[in-house]
Amino acid sequence: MKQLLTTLLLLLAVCGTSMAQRSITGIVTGDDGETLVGATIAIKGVARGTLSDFNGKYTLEVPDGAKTLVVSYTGYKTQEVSIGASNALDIVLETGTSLSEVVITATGLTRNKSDVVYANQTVNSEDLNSVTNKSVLNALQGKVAGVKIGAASGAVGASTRVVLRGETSLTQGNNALIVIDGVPVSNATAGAGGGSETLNGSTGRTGDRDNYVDFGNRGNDINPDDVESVTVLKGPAATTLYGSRGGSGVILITTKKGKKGDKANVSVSSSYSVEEAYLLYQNQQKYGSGYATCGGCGGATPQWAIRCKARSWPTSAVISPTS
Amino acid sequence: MQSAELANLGSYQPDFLATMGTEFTIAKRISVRALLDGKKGGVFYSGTKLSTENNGTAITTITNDRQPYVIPNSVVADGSGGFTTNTTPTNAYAYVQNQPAGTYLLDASYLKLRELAVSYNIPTSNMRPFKRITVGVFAKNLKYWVAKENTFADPEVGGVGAASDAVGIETTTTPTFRSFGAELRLNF
Repeated sequence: MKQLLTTLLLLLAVCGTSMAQRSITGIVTGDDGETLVGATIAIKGVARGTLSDFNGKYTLEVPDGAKTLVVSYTGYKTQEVSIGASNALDIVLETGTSLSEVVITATGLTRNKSDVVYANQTVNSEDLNSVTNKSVLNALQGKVAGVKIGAASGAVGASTRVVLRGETSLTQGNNALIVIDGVPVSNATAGAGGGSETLNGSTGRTGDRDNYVDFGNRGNDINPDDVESVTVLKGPAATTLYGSRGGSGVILITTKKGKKGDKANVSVSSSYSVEEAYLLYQNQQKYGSGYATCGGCGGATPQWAIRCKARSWPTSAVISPTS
Repeated sequence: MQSAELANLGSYQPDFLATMGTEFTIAKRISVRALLDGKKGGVFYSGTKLSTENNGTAITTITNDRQPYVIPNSVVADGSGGFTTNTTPTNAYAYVQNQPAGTYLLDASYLKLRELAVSYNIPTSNMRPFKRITVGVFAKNLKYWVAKENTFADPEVGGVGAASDAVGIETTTTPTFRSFGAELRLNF
């Protein structure tokens, strides 16, 4: 027992000497003078570090043997700073690390893609505008995994429906919420019809699809050329900020804006395109449409219409188009 | 003969969605982009099929040159709960007109060459104030592949459903389009 106690005491003493340390404090700023909130300050070779606070200030317990601090911040060059004798150490980071894969989080912060733990995907302006598109949502087609983007029709300004991760609700809308620079925009469709209004002289029945008019939805209003990046957030972890409205996923659209230190940049994009309807139903060209109720061929049994090239209609035939 | 019981005829949900894109540069200035987008599985209800088979304009209505024929694999009830092979030729019109709604369901699979673009970056070293000049031609939905049975509509178009979450119902909507175009981009 006594032996054990001695050993423990000895161990503590050894630990005590090796853990001799001092506290280093300082402020982390960018070379543009801005204090950096949440910069990572780590001790090289030791698994310990801290983050700078809201004023860019940090305090770090440094063991005596440590010689270098590694300071990093998104958008700045990671820097190694040697620890001198002084306990005060202000750090200035150089800008310039290009953000190759950044993600705009739900709270509007820019983060490295690898720092974000939830499912997300970002499409940048260049990929989005690879060909001229009429709306951001159509431009996203085929560029984000697991996203179904369907149009109500091929008509100009038709509604676009965006579903992330498949249909999840039978009774509620499955359309993703669109957030433009932090402002939620409903992608619900302004549609009319299917009710009882009169169109072409006939009053629609409830749920009548024939009388439906699609006025489009607001997701189509965004000019793709104004968009800097589109981040698609899937799953509840990513969309918590938007509560139940983000239940079907969120499409975060960040528009282009100037940055401090940027030079004036003008870009002109002009395009001309011709459109052609495709994937039409294949119609037969052999026979006329409608059907004939032919008196001479078995009473009221209707028959298809005759060949277009036939010289004359059967005299007893009544041709009437259906539906 | 139609069963009175309701039956599940299929789901609009696809088995999988797949996209594939590529971009490569030739001789440092010519850039080529292609994007394939596809969906496999699922069915959709085609209002176009219903309407065009009804009024006799669909290509499916000229089966057997519109002459009466024995429907392949058809049976008739023998009256005692069993079925025997059908030998009576049917008037094609009567057959097409009397089909249950389930026959208007079509395979919703598709594969589309969503984008194909070729662009050229004009050298701008002697052309102030331009930083970059790009000219290009592009085509959207240049080519498509759909299920063989689908000679009616674009399975991607949702009709009213696109807006109201009643998905997979195509209601003779305006057809989708392919576009061909040219563009010019200037940066200065």
